[in-house]
Amino acid sequence: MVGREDATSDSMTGEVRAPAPPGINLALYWHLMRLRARTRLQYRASLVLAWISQGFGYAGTFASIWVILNRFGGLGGWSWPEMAFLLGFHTFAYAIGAVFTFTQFRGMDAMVREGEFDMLLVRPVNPWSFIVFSGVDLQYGSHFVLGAGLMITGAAALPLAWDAGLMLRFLASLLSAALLTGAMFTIIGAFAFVLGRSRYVFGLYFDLWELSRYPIGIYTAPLQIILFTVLPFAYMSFVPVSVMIGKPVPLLGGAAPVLALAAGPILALMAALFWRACLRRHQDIGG
Amino acid sequence: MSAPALKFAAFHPLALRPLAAFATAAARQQATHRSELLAMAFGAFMDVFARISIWKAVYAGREDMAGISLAEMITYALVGSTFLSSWDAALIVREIGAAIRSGQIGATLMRPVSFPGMLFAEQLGPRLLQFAVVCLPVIAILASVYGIQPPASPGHFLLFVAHVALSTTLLFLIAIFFGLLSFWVLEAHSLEWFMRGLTALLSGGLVPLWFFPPALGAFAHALPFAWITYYPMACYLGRADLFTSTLLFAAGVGWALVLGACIAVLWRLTTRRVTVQGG
Amino acid sequence: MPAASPAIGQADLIRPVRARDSPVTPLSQNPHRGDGPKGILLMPPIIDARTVSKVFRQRQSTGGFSGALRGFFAPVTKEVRAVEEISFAIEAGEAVGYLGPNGAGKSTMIKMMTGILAPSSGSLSVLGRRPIEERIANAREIGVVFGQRSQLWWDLPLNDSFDLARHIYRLPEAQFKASRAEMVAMLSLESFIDRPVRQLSLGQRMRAEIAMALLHAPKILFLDEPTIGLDVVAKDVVRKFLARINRERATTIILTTHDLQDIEEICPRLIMVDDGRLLFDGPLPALRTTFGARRRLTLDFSADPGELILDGARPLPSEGLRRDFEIADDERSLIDLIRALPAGAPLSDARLHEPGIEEVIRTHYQGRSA
Repeated sequence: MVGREDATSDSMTGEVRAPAPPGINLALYWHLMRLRARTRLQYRASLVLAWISQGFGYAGTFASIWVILNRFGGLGGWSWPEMAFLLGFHTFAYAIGAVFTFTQFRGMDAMVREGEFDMLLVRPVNPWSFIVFSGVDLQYGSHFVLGAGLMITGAAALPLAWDAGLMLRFLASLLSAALLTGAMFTIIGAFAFVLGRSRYVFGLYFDLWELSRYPIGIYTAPLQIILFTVLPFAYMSFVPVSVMIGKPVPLLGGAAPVLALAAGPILALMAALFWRACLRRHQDIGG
Repeated sequence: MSAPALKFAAFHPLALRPLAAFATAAARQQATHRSELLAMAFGAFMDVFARISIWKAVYAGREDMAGISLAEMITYALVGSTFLSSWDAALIVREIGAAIRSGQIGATLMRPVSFPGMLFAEQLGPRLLQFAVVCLPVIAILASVYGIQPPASPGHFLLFVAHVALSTTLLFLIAIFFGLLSFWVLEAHSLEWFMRGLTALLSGGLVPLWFFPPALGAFAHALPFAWITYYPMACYLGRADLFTSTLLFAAGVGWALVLGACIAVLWRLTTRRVTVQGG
Repeated sequence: MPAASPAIGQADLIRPVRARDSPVTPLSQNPHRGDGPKGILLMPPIIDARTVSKVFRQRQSTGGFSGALRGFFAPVTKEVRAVEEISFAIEAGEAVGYLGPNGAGKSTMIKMMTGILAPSSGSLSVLGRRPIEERIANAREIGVVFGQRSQLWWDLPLNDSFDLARHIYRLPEAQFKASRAEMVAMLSLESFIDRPVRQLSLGQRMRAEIAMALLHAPKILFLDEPTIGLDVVAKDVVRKFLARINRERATTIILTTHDLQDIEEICPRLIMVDDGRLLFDGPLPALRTTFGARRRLTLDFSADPGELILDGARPLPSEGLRRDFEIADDERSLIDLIRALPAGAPLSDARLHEPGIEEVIRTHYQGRSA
């Protein structure tokens, strides 16, 4: 076996070549996003229509929730403006994460099964980053519009002092919740290396995701514990929004302000480790 | 659809035998995907559970709202979101859209069974299977925890059973209608979401029409969507006497006929266009 | 024909035939010895596989969600030995055909060399690195074409995919442009470089795939079934190009194929595997000798010669005016054989068939599966 130091490939052929720059290939990921956007924008009209119709679909559900709040005056101690802010935050943060991960990892099991994933491994790229950025999904326009609209509606009626501190907390909370979304989709995507079929796990995800758009306090205690720990959907919007508008958070108490911002990065780290372990397993025993 | 099922097809377009064959074949196919059924049961369970939690939260310390008690709303959530709206019928829109785009709809014209009829049969089999293995267990488990109200009377119960059949039929007809529209306007994907939005609000699936603001409520009471969840549950809970309930049921049947007629016209126009275009 | 060739029975074929067993031993076959026959200072092999094995643990699925769950926590597995103790060494600049039936472990071996899969045991070095440990460094210096998968961006013009390669391999602008111009010229891509990939014919797409894999001037080009599904003309273009790249750029080529003509036209050296094991490694012409494939004699008569016995020839099932024989002895010439015919036999024509490699390999596999 040839030692790496004394006989690099270049010395073998006598060819001189500039070494590739180390580090993350940001230019590539930016380029991939632009390519993807161009592909999607070839069908501009259909994209706009998709935004409008999907927005309509979500609006139907949000209207139902408004009907309840309008009639009963509140839900588990949350008024309509508070609820609107919660729903808006939930939709908006989810969409940021989903732009980078949902459709990408929904197709992951087929990608692994049909060998497309292997094609990424023969290139000098990080496969996760390649999947994420080459699949950037523009179809969430209505999520952003509805989410922002609901948040503005809610915030306008709430006595919030939008100083720099709150602004910063708001942006960091959004980022954390978006990371949480991306981390969860990454974990489900990594199941594809192990389970073979992972698509239906996304169905289970959305069942729980729908629970997380309401104040978590309305559920029975055991479910609350689950949503705060093993399936951390509470941090999608309930915890960060409660902290911002000054509502008490059950179970967490004083740790809530920190956890609202830390949940996303923590789960992202766990997702990265899980992804790596599953990929390693795939390379060792899969095929 | 598998070829063997086609062998049973008789040559009369209204023959029920081929449709029954489609229905059982589709049901059997789904039964083999146990993991999907389990996932579906989990989804239904979570959905009903969320609704019950919402109603318990909003009723906190309240006797009734618009003459409806919490116990009644729990029953509404249990029965209404399982038997009456748990399936995502909007997926049919996607299926029809795909068949139109791929040209497969042209091929279906050569079959001795009409395409809408075949789709209906295909949906019916899995639907009945889901009633048995998804809806009933979910109701049984949650009812044992939160309680459930019996139907208002035996008569109301019989009428409710008829309502379930009508609800399934209407949902299906609406989906087919939207699906066929995709041949003429917009895309199936968009129509699918429009249908989802309209159904979510106007069927009373999540919130019964009693709680709607008056203007919206009056509007929603008249549209066919209301017969998907709202009227059947109103009948179950005995909100109207048997005579009025029967009249309301008849109105729903009327809507089904109107939709059926619209579909027949659209179907004829579509097939004519497909034939002219050569598929 | 080679000088001497002991007949090898079927039983011997199971044992891997190393090149040193065959009468012709090319330079490349003995890379570990410093004393090359031509006195060249030998460089370390560009690919060095030593007793490489790959064992898959295939999950025994019990089906269903519960089964999947159980499989997740306590998988019931059975071992599939896809590659068994394979050793070979490939020198820079070689073109090697990697041949074997479906499921013989060809793709698995390629996947190990390209850093997709980790070997279960043995040592594998590509360009002095272990591909799985230094996947990215390895990927930068190899090019890969999998006949059934595309590297190209389906909805965008071909040129955009090339531009993507520039970013993936971080090529300097000038080098990229020169390389692209060269590929476009050599593979005649000019006419469709601005067309979306989905509109290209299969042959055009394969040319584009190969160009894409070569833009960063890799030292080794791996191709998995590069001609699969192509028509005769397209196959010819691909083969000629690969042979040229190998000759002119000294790019090392490793290709797997079903089509023996690919190997005949591109690869002087052949590695044959079956059932995960190495069967043969050596120059193409040595294959026939090693496997002892027989020549076949066909005699045409103007009248039925009746019972015919020919010295040194085994009659094959045939009757009437045309008779076939299998010739065991490679030394015997056609003239020798005809002389051995009974005097006065009404012979009108005689032909001697040299077995093609296709035939050689087919006979081998038929013998095995029986």
